[in-house]
Amino acid sequence: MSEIDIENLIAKTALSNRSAFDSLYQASSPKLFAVVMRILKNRELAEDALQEVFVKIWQKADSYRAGQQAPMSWLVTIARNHSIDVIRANKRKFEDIEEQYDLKTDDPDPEQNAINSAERNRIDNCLEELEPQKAEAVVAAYIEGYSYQELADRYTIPLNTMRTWLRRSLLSLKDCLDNG
Amino acid sequence: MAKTATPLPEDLEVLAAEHVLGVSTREERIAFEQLAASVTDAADAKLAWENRLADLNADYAPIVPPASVKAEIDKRLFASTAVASVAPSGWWNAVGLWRGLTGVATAVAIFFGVSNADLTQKLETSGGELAAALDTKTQAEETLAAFEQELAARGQQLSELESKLVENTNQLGSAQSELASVKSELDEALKAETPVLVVSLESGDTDYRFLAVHEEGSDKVRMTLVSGAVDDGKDFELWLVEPEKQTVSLGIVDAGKTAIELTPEFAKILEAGGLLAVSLEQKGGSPTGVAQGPVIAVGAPNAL
Repeated sequence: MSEIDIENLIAKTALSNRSAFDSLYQASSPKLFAVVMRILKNRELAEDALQEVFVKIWQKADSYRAGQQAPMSWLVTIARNHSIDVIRANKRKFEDIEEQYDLKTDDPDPEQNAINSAERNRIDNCLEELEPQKAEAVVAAYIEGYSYQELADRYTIPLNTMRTWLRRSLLSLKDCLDNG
Repeated sequence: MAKTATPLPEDLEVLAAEHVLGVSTREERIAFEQLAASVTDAADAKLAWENRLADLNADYAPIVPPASVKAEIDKRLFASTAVASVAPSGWWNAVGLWRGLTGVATAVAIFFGVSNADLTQKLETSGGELAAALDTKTQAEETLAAFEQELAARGQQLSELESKLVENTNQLGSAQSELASVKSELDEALKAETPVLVVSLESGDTDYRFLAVHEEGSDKVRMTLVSGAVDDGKDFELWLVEPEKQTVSLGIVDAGKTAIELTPEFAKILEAGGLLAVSLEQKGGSPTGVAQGPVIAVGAPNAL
């Protein structure tokens, strides 16, 4: 399903079209479930979160502005924000969950994989300009939803140092991405 | 926390980046969301960072969620819709009073015909009309109940009147049959084509009334007690009263009808205008030949 198709489904969902919403769910729920699972690291919490995410999508579909943001990015942002809000409100229930939890993933189709690689190339080029550990911290923060405190613990670096690290890294990344 | 002062561009950039990356605390997240909702620069900075980092979304490898999740979502989002779509029909049926309320029916027809934009407006309007219609219906029901009560009361009165009428009709019937019997006697007498003397015996002081009929030339006077109570311990005695002569007893009159024998002499006296009288006497009549009890009815003969 193309980005244009997803855009159309969001637009129809904004008009309370239930079959469009069903199609949008079919098309996007595996990606969004991956997001909430990765951040919440608990299947039960993730299933609850996915419900909330799609309720928000149904309610906020009319606020999506095509042209400002890719439709999947908009959907992932809703899923990430909700998941991060959940773990910030309740202390993360599982530590070092990677070892405990075996994440089952679908094999991405080759075409999609190629697109992902192409997309990642741009940001990867900029991440390469950072020190490897800092680049890894940025990616880990984004993908896993780690807080400054969790990152500091993880890298055994003082909180304020981690804060300074990341801020500098983000501003460098911005310069690279905006000018690249 | 959200301040009234907008952060410097550099600070705003950092706050937006931290927010989108997700490293900030719960309080910082809430504060930035509030800032982005009211300050365009903050919202723009946030959107820009979402787009910058969106390429990292490729790292989220899809996981198909269990079907139960979608079922729960539908239940949460559309259960109320399902209830709402059932409720009007249940309501429609339950409130059978819709029948005949054409004004309401029209309002509903309009309601279903309008576009989304007008829906709320029409809903309010039709809601108002429905309320008004329900009021009218309630008033109509009250009036109907009052009518039904009055009708029931009138029905009661009517049945009372009917039973009275039956009673009266019965009385009338017996009075008519009595009258008919008297009349037939008269008719019979008239058929004989002989002069008939009729004496109505009564008194202003009593309820007693007798009718005496005598055909001229016959030796009888037929007596009928028309009204007055019969005393079992007494007898009625009939007297012939001739002016300036001794009153003579004609005999005992029974309750009902009695044919009294007349001597030719007495018949002549009667036909000449002698009075008839009835007195209440001991059983068997006055033993002395003179009335001892009270005279209860007196009458003079009239020729028919």
